[in-house]
Amino acid sequence: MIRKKLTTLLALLALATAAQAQTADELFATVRTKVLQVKDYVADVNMKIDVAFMQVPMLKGKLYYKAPDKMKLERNGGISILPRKNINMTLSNLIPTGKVTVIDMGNTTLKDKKLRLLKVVPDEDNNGIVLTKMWLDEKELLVTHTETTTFNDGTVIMDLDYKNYNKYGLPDKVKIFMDLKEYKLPKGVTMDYNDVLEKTDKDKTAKKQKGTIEIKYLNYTINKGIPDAIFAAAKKGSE
Amino acid sequence: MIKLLSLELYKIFKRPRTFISFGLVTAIALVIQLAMTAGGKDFLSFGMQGITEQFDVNGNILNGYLVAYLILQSLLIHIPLLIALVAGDTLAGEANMGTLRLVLTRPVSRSELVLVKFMASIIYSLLLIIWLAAVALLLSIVLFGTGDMINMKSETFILLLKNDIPWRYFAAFGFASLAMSSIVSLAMFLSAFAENAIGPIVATMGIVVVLTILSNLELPLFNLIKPYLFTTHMIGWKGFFDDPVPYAAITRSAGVLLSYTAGLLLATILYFNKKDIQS
Amino acid sequence: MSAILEARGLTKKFGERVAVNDLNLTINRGQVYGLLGQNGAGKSTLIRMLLGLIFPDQGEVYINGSHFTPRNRRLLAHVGAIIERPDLYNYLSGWDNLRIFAALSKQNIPTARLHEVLEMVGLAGREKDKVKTYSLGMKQRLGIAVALIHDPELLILDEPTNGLDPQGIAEIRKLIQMLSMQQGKTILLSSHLLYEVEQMATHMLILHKGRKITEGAVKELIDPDETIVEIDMLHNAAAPAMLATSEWKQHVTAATPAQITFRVNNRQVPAINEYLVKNGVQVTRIHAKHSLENYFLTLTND
Repeated sequence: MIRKKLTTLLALLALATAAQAQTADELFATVRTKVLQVKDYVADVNMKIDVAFMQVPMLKGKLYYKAPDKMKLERNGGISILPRKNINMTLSNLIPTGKVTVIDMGNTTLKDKKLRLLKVVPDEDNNGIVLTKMWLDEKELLVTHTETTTFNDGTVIMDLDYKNYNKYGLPDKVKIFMDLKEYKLPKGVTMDYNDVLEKTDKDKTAKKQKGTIEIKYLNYTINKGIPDAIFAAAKKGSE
Repeated sequence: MIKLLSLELYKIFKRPRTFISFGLVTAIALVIQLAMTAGGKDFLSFGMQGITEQFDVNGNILNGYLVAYLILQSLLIHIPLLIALVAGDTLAGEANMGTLRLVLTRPVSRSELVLVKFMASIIYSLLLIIWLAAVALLLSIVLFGTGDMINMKSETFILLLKNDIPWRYFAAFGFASLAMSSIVSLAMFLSAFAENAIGPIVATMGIVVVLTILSNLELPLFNLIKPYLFTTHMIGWKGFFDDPVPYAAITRSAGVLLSYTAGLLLATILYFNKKDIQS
Repeated sequence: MSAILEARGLTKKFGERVAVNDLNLTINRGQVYGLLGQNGAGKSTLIRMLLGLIFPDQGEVYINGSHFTPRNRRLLAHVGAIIERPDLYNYLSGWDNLRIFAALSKQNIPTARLHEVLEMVGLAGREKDKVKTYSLGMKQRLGIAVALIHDPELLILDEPTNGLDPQGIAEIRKLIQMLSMQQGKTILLSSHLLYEVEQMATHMLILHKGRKITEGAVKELIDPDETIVEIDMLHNAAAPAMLATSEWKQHVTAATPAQITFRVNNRQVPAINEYLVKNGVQVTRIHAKHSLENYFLTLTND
C-alpha cells in the first residue's frame, strides 16, 4: 500500500523534472545498459577489510564475477573473505533491474565534483532493494557514489573511482560502507590473552557496527566467459 | 659445570617417568588431530557462526597452522603439570632417594647444585616444547597442510596470511619456554622444602590450576590481582597471533615471568644453602 | 701425628631437643676412629655436621687444620663418606654412579681410577648392572667405592655394617682393615655395637644423649683386666663410710648399705673380698663384668 502511494508520488515528481537536458529515465537506462554489458570479469584485486571486530590484512587475489550475482575471491589456496551479501559488491547488483521508477534529484556536488543525483525505486522486488540513490557523472556516464537501502542488510554505501575501465563502467577502486552485527565468543572458550591488561581501547563498541571494504582493481579481463564450476566450489566451501 | 649439567640430564633422561610427558604430549596432539580430521569442519562452523552470518569465508581454513594453534591452546596450560613432574623431583626426589646427602658431601657448592638442576630442568622443558612443536605443528602441517590462519578471539576475528605465520610460532614457542621456566623455578622452590617428590609435584600442579582459574574468572576482585599472577601471563604466547602483535603487553608479561623465575630461583638458592639436610 | 678432622664445641638443637652438646673431638691421621653410641645418641647429627650437611648452632669443624664453612667446601675433597643407608641412584648402573660422584668431586678423575676402586671393593665385573639388582652388601661396597673415588684421606662411614648379613659384615670389616692398613686411609666409623668398634677401631668416642662420655685409644679404654665388680651384702649401714676411708677408696664407684661397686683389676678381687670379710661385711654375691661393656650397657638401659 505504502509503496504504491510512494511510487505514484515519485512518478509525479519525475514528471515535474522531465524538463532536464537528458531525462532521468534516459540517463538511468543508459548507465544501466553500460553497466550490464559486463557479463563477467576476472580481476586482480587488493582487498582491505576494515571492521572493528576483524583484523584481516590486505588480501590479494583474483576476483571472479559473473552476472548476475556470482562472485568469488580466489587467493591461490589461501582463505578468502567476502561479505555474505555480496550482492552489494558490484554496481550491477546495486542497480535494480526490471521496471523501476527513477526520480531526478537534480545536480549536486560531491567531493568537489558536479554530479547528477537519481533516486531509483524498483517496482517489483529486486534483490531486497528498497531504494537506490545514485550520484552520476553525466559526461562519462559513470556512477561514483551510491546509497542503497535494503530490506535486510541496512544501508550500503559505495564510493567508486574510475580510471582505466570507464568504457565498461568498471571502477579501479571501490569502497563499500556497510552495517554489521557484533561478533562475540564466550571468553571461557577462547581464553584470551590481553583482556585483563588492555581493557581500555577494546570495549565500548556499539551493538551495530560499521564496516568498510575497499577493493582496488588492478586489471580486468572482461567478458571472456567463466565456467560456473569456479563458483560452485566457493558455494560448497561456505556451507 | 657443563659436566655436572650433562650428568644431571643423563640422570633425568635415564628415568622412564621423564618420557611420560613426551608420550602424553604426543597422545593429546594425536587425539586432537584425529578429532579435527573427523569433526573439524563442524567445530569450525560452530565457532565461526558470528562471522559466517555476515561473511563468506572460503578456502583451506582447517589447515595445519590452525590445528596446531588449537592443540597449543588446549595443551600449553597442561605442560606445566608435566614440567612439575621433573622439576619438582630435582631436589626432593634426591632427598627421598637418599642420594642428596651424598651429593652434598662433595666439594660442589649447594648454589651450583641448584643452578645445575635448574638448567637441566630448563633444558628438559625446552626439549618438551620442541617436541610439542614437532607433534603439534610439524605433524599438523603434514596432516593438514599450511595456509592462512584464522584466530577467533572472544571479540575479534583475526586472519593471518600464510607467510606471516611461521615466525609467530617460533616466537610463541620461545615465549612458552619462558613461561615454563617460571614453572621450573616454582617447582624447584617447593622441591627444596620437601623430602619426597610427590609433595612439590602436586603442590606445583595445584598452584598452577588454582591460579589459572583465578586468572580466567571474570570477577572484579580477581581483576585486581590478575596482573600479578604468573598464570595470567603464561598465555602471552597467544599475543603473537594477534594483529598487530601487542608487543608492550608481551614484554610486560615476559618481564613478570622472568621476575618470577629469577625470584623463585634466588629464593631456592638462599633457602637451600641454609637447609639442614636430614633426609 | 696431625689432626685431619677436629670438632670444637659442636652443639646442635632441634627445637628443644639438644642433639649434640658441646662436643669436641680430634681425629689424627692413620686412626680408625670409632664413634659409639646407641641409636639417637647424636651420631648421625654429629657426622652430618662434620660433613656440612647440618649447620651447627655453635662450634666449628676443622678439616686438615682449616676452618670448614659453606664458603670453604673444597675442603670436602679430603673426605669421602657414606651416611646411614648406602642410597645411590638405583636406576643407574654402578658405573654411572661412580661417574656422577667423580664429577661432583670437582677433580679430574681418570677412568682408570673408577676401575681401581671397583677392584678394591670387589665389584669389578658388576659395574654395568643397575644398582637395584645389587645385594645390600654390594650396595654398601659400591657406597664405599663412591666414597673412595676421589682418593680422600679421610673416610667417614656411618653404620657401615648396619643391616648386613654376617658374610657382608665380614667383607666390610676386611675392606675397612685393608683401607686402613694398605691404603693408609684415616677412617671415622660409627656404630651402636661395642664389639664392632672394638674389633675395627684404634680410637673411640662414646656418645650419649649428644654428649661425649669418654674418648681415647681402644686399647686403653678396653683394658682386658679392668673389671667392674658389684658386691652384694647383708645390710650394713657402716660399710660405705668405712670404705671411703680405706685403701680401696679410689676404686669405689658406688656404695650403698646393700651393694658396693668397684672398678679394679681382675687380680685384686680376692683381696677386696678378704678386706670386706675381715671388717665384718657379710658378702652374699660377687659379680664381675667387663668394664666398658657394662658401662655401655648401663647407657643403653636408660
